[in-house]
Amino acid sequence: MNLNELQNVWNSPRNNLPTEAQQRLADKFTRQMIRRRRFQFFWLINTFFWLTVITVLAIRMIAVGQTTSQEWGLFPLLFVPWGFAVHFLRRYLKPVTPVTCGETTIVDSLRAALVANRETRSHLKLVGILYAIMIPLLAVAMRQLYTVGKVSERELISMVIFFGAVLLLGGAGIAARYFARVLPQKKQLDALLTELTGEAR
Amino acid sequence: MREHSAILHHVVNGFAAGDDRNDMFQEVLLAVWKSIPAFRGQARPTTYLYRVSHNAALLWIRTEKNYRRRVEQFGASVPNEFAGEPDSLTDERLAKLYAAIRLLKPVDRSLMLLSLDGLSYREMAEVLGFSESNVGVKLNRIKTQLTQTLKGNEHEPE
Repeated sequence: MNLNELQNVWNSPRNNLPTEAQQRLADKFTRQMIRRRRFQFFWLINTFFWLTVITVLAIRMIAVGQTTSQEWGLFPLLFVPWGFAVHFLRRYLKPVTPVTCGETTIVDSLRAALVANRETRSHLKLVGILYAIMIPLLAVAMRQLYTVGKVSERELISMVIFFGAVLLLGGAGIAARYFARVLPQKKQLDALLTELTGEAR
Repeated sequence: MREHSAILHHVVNGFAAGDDRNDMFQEVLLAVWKSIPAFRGQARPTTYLYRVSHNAALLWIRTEKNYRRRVEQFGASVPNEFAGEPDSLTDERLAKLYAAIRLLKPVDRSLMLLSLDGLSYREMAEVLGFSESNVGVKLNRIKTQLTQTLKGNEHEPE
């Protein structure tokens, strides 16, 4: 095939979908996206409902004085689920636009993706370092608690197992994200940018 | 999406073959969907769609896990039907052409697809982000490579 024949073949109707298929495809995709958005909406409603119930119950029980003063510590703990819920609500109301959206050229968006990738790698490294610092600190703290008699040997073992499992799972998750997702993406972006700018500039 | 389905159809077939097309199709559709709120009208809708779909295709990584997740989540697949009257010769030539395009390097694939879609050098430069002269130089090389691949395929024994 020469170039003219290539172009003719390319422009033939066989290189496109029939109108009905296009319509079907658009309808199906729109339905799926609406369903997805609806699911997120109901998930958020459910989460906020139960968090509100728990918070109201906690306020009633603790503020009214049905429990000991030690349980005021529940309120700071409630910040964690509330924080996550608010985060997901913000994402729902204002979806994050990917850096590779079409407002900039492909070269620029790949560069932006590389910058975002570098930030993610730095962030993951920082979290990894904090994990590494946490391990000896936790070990010393637990040993101190045991030495001064605040925890029994059985409680100490439970704490070691619990915190060990949490740190291990968290560390494994960070390592998996770094090595299986972020680093390969960096290599891919580097390769694409070299191909695009190395030859073109 | 309906108006520009040809763009998506060409990108998906130019970057993936077989069942992988479904995965890439989902990837491209999702990228288009996610990028809609960012559309400010600074680029023409067609240029915008070319950028989003080619970006998604260039960054697509085929993994079994992603593939299964997307098929389960969205269930949609590339329709295996084509417009116009059935024509086995054209279908065969199209299949060969797409196969030859998939042998090119990713960025070259993008450039070739844009060229076949009839974009001018200026429009291709707007989509990809390098100068028109560079588009011309690269495109000449890619076209030569493509025609040689296709000639090689024609001479191969069946």
